[in-house]
Amino acid sequence: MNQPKTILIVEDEQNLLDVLADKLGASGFSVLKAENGEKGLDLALKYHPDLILLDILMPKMDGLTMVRRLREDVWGSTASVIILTNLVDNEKVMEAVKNKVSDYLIKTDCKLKDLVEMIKKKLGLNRTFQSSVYYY
Amino acid sequence: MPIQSSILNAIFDTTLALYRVADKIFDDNFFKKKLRRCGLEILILVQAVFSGDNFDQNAHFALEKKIDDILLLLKFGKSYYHLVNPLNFSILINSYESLQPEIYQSLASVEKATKARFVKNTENESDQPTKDFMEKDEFVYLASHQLRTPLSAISWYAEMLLSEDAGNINQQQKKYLEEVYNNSQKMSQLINTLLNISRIESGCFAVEIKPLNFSVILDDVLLELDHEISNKKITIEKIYNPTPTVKADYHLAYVIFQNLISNSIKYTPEGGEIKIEVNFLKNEKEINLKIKECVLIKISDNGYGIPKNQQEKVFTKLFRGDNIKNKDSAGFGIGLYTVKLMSDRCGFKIWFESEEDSGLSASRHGTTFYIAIPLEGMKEKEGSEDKKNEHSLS
Repeated sequence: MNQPKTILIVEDEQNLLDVLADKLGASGFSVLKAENGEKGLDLALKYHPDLILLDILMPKMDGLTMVRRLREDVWGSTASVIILTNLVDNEKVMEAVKNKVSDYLIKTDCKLKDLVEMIKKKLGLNRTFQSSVYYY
Repeated sequence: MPIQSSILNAIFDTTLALYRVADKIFDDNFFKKKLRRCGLEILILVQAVFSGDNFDQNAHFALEKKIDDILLLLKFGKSYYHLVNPLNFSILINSYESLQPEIYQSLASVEKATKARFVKNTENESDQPTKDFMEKDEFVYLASHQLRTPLSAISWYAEMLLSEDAGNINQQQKKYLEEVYNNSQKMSQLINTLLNISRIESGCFAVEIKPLNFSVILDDVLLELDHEISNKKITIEKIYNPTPTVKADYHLAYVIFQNLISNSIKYTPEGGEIKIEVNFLKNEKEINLKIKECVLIKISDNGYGIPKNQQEKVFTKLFRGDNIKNKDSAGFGIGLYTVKLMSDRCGFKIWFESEEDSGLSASRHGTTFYIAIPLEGMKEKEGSEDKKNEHSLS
């Protein structure tokens, strides 16, 4: 890839933030970290990341408020957002879908490996897949 | 207020289109099965609404939920397949999304009526139940979040080490880390079970009653447990006799069957047999129950069985048979407690027969669970406790 794609992780649990950043960094992404929605919104509007991984329950500003605010911005209205949370609640899922969130994932049900694969596919970077097609 | 038939027609057409898309997915994976199942449920619901039968309000809720489900699935499918297989997920997403506002609108009026009735019901008792109900529900879902957070950290860090992102590990280290990882997965299942129990105990388990065909639910459960069944080379014999549908909650019934069948798998040695029978009993003399007509489900295995002197404790919290404690360390002793709790909630009658494996090859052994589902079905309770059903059956 010419220029690494940038991913913004918004997560208030420091250890989860670290492990996500490590994994995504090791997978060739450039990573931005924010520990609450307020900072997440700032970084998003400033750096325009290619994808945002967003928790819901956070201090200062929660994830769903952040998406709503993000959608008011011209760039933010079309930014890719994946919700990654441990909160299972139909109302939250519905609200997320209404705010054009592309996926809603539950942390404990989700392997890091699958998450990376999914992000790569979403950003059109699944090189391993393409090359395997050529070899066939 | 009934759903407009033009909306129903549109939902029907969109769902048929969905089937065509599902058929084009070449790999027969979990996603495809789930998409088809979800679509089928929508078709059944639409048919149920068309046939009337005082079913409007539940059908509204159910349809709204199912369409949410299918939209999430489609969005997942779109991101997952968009490079592999350029299918028309977008068109489907758009058509379902354009249907949503109309369903919302008609739902909103139904919801208003329901809420008014709920408030009226609780006002008769006192103001307290509604408040408690909210607080407990709030507690349950915050607790679920709090418990899952450290677990995510454990499994993700273990996964990092296992994937050798932080350097190579040897075979033994790998084995130990796999134990850490697998057990954190088990813990997360346990949390789900505990949450279910706490929700039922506090009476705030959302119940959604609709006509169910129990053979379909059993097949759904078997599909989920397919991996474990083939791992232990267990033979499943199905004898599904035709039965009428019974009104009940899909999720509750699913959890009951899931617990019973996965117990049978757990406590049956490799190469064993599990038999699942569905019967419709019209004559009360056929079974010694005070129910006139019922659907009787029988789940039997030729496993280790439950010791005679422990049989009365089977449905208590934390029960584990003496004979299986050292055979399977994964059990927690809450599965059957959950089953009993949920059966009571549904008005199902449950009992069992069991013969412990004495070690002699010729002896018959194993456990059979019976679930009798009265044809009159579940009563609507709208979240508050109502003991009437249980008394009429016990």
